[in-house]
Amino acid sequence: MRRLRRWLIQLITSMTRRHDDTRLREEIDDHVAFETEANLRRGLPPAEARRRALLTSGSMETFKEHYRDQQGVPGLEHLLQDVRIALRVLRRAPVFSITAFLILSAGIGLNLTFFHLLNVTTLQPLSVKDPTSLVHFQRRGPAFTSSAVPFPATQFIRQNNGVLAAVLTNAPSVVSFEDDMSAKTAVAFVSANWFEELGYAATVGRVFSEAVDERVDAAPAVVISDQFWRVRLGADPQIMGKVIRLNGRSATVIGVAPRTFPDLDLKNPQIWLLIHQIDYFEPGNPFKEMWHANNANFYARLRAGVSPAAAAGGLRVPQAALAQSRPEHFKVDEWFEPATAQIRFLHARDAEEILVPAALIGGLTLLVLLVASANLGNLMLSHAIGRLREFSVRSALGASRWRILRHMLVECGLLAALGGMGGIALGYGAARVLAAIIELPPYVDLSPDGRLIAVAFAVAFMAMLAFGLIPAWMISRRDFVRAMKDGGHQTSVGLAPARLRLALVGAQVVGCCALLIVAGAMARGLQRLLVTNPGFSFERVAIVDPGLERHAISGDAARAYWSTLSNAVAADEGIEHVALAYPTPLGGMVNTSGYGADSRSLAIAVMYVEPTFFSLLEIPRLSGRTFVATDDRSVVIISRQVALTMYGTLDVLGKGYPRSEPTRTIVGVVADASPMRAGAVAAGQEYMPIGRGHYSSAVLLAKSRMSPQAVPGRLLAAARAADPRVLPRTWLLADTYADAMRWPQLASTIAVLVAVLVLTLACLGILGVVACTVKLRTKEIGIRRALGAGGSRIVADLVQQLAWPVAIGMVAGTPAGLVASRLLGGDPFYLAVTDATTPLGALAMFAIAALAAAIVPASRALRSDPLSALRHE
Amino acid sequence: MKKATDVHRGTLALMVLKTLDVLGPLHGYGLARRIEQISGDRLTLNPGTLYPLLLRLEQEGAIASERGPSENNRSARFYRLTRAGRKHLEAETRAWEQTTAQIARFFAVKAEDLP
Repeated sequence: MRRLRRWLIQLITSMTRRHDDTRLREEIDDHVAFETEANLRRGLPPAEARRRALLTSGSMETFKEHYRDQQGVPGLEHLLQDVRIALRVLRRAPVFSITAFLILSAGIGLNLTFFHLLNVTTLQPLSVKDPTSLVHFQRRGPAFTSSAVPFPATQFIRQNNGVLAAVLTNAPSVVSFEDDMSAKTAVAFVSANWFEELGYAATVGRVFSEAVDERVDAAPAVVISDQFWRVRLGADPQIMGKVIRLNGRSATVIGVAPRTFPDLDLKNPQIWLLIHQIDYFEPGNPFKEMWHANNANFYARLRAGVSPAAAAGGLRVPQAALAQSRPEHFKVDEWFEPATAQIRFLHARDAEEILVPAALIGGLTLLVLLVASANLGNLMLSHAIGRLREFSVRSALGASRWRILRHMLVECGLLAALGGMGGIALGYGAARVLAAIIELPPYVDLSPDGRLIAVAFAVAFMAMLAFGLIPAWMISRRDFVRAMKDGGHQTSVGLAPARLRLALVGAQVVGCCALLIVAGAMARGLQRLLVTNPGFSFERVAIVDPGLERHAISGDAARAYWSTLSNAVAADEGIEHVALAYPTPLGGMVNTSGYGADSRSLAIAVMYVEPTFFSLLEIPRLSGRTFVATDDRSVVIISRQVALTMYGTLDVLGKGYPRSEPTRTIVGVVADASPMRAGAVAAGQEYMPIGRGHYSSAVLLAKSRMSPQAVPGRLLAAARAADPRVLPRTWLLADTYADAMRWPQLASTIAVLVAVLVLTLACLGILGVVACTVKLRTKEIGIRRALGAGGSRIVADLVQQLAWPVAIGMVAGTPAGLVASRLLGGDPFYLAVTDATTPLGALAMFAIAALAAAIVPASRALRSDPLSALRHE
Repeated sequence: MKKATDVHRGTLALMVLKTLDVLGPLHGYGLARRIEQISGDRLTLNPGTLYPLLLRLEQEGAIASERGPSENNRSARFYRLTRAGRKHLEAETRAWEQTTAQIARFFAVKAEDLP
């Protein structure tokens, strides 16, 4: 207690220093006066009396020194003094300070951006009421997983279980707003308890309520998003009760959801509609009776005290009942797999899919940090070596080794703090820019996270500790006296720091080469996507999707609809070809088949198409024929890759397919194209004639002769004319393609930027090492030149020291980069690393840059005059 | 000449407190002279040691100070013992007595005294 009190008092008095100095002076003056009087009484003359008094009382400075030790908080005092000195040092070396600051900021900022975005989109618990008891159920069987469940099944479970307090359902869709049939608005059909169970109220009006809105006779009502209200409705304060038209149907706006209201699946619905009114907005949609389609997301609020695992166990009872009553749709060995909102509904399998690439990218960003830190270490070491003489002088003036080390520590700490702040600013800024580019929904909270900030500072200090301290410690162990004598030369070329510098360069080269290879692979992949032919022509193709399934038009009715529409569209002068296809090209849905040993690692996408499909997309036929009207399911057309993988030859016409257990006959081989998924690697195609079963979910492709801009409008009108009930969507294939390219484009751009950053850092490191050596060996170089040594020899000597660390770094970094780019080969990056040229090119680029970075400062040493170099001290 | 810093660490504070306890409020110069006098002039107090010590004791609350007129009508800062200082002095005195008694027993001990 006394200690604390004393410390507090000292803290306060150390702030009121000036006042206490005055008091001390006053006391000393008093003392001298008393002493003088005493001396006078002893009979000394006045002048002598005062002189002696002054002598015995000592110097004022000694008092102050003594007094300060008694007075302030010595640790704090010294720290403040060190900080002041460090600030002065950093100010005096602006290039060093700014470089160190930028390096650290870039390293930390990049990591922060990535982890921040990962955190807000994947790791943070969803911001809903009691996330631990809100679960999402996947439908699982021994051989399949579905994230959605048939809507009628969710309603059956709702009535027949003892573990769920509430069942929530959600089905995303699109609607047309007011009379604009061509633009579609993203909406979500939700159960009436949606907002209440997630714990959100409306900012204007009210949200759905189970009691009011779930009644069968409830009026069609919608809740709109804050974004929709502001952007589309001009933030109309009178919006409550207003009637809007969706899909041509009237509905009353009952409220506006808060901006922070999250979608559970990271989508961005603009309007929420009631799921039991889905057939009002989509007339004829048999959604509520569709047992065969997994069409609704199934969420539930667990009863109090019921764990997710217990709930899954409890759902086995209704599941068994479903398997019994509807054996054609539910099998006895199925189950419902829970995942809570606390873990963002990340089921173990999905988690793997997301977290593996995330960990990989995280690893690469950490690699950047490593490179940055190693660079920083080099920079710190150079800086410290450059100050050897200063340290020597200070040491000679009585500064202890510890004091000098402490100075360097404080400098490191200061730089770490500045770098941490810069990194945080950069990280959050970049995260916001990226979020805007990838159009993260507005409810995603991008505000800084205290924990991440703490981690950023911790990383900054750790990087500084690891890479700033080692040089500091090494320098503080040097013999300063000797350093002063020889001007710092011998000491600084001492082995340990030199070796450390080379090791740091090696570390940078490892990271740099790995990142360059990955970035090279990404850029190459992008180039392949953008420049090379995707295998099909998408420029003048428009697509119309009337959504027949939603309107319960299937079988013969669907066939009749298509023939009416096809004829109407084909009659248009401006249309060159029309073709039906399922699934939608580049539509995101891919049916793949594997034929075990036959197809090996090749994923074969299956498409059902009309005969004109190939000429419409200009997919070249390599042999055989296209389909004819009489073809049935017994024939197949395969792509070149499939033929080569399965049969090892293109001469496969008439052979059975698949090879081992043939069920179909190959009638044609076409060139490789991936109309299903842009830029897919190691993917083959198999085409089958479209038949009855796919008419209700098929789309119509139309290729125009001229510019296709007007085609979607005409398709829309024709589709409506063929059946006025349908609510068609139309779009241009080129737009879809551009959309599909966005991700790889963004990813490649970022990768290339990061690689350039890292390459710059590594070259900077190499440049620094050589420049420092040149500076330290100026005298030696001068002597050698004066003795007639050739310039190239000297440059070679200077560059040579880096040969080993760079070579070792390149050898170590290459496999790391190759493994990383192989791991990133699948979804969603599709890196193409099948060729050796990309990694070799990346390495060559690095080697050239490194050599240039080494030669530039080395040759600068030669330009100086040997005599002046000799005079140089 | 012996210096005050040569006495055991912490004992100077005790001397100051005891002197103030016995003689009542004193100014710094008077205090120094008194301590020297009590020590039989075997101690010389350096002002550079005394005044910082006085400040520290005041910060700890053991003594308090205010300016007042001295015996020859000079203005000077007078120090006096506070209640806390008195308590502190008592505790320290007991501790000191115990320590010296123990040390004295050790110094007095002879081989034949031990069983």
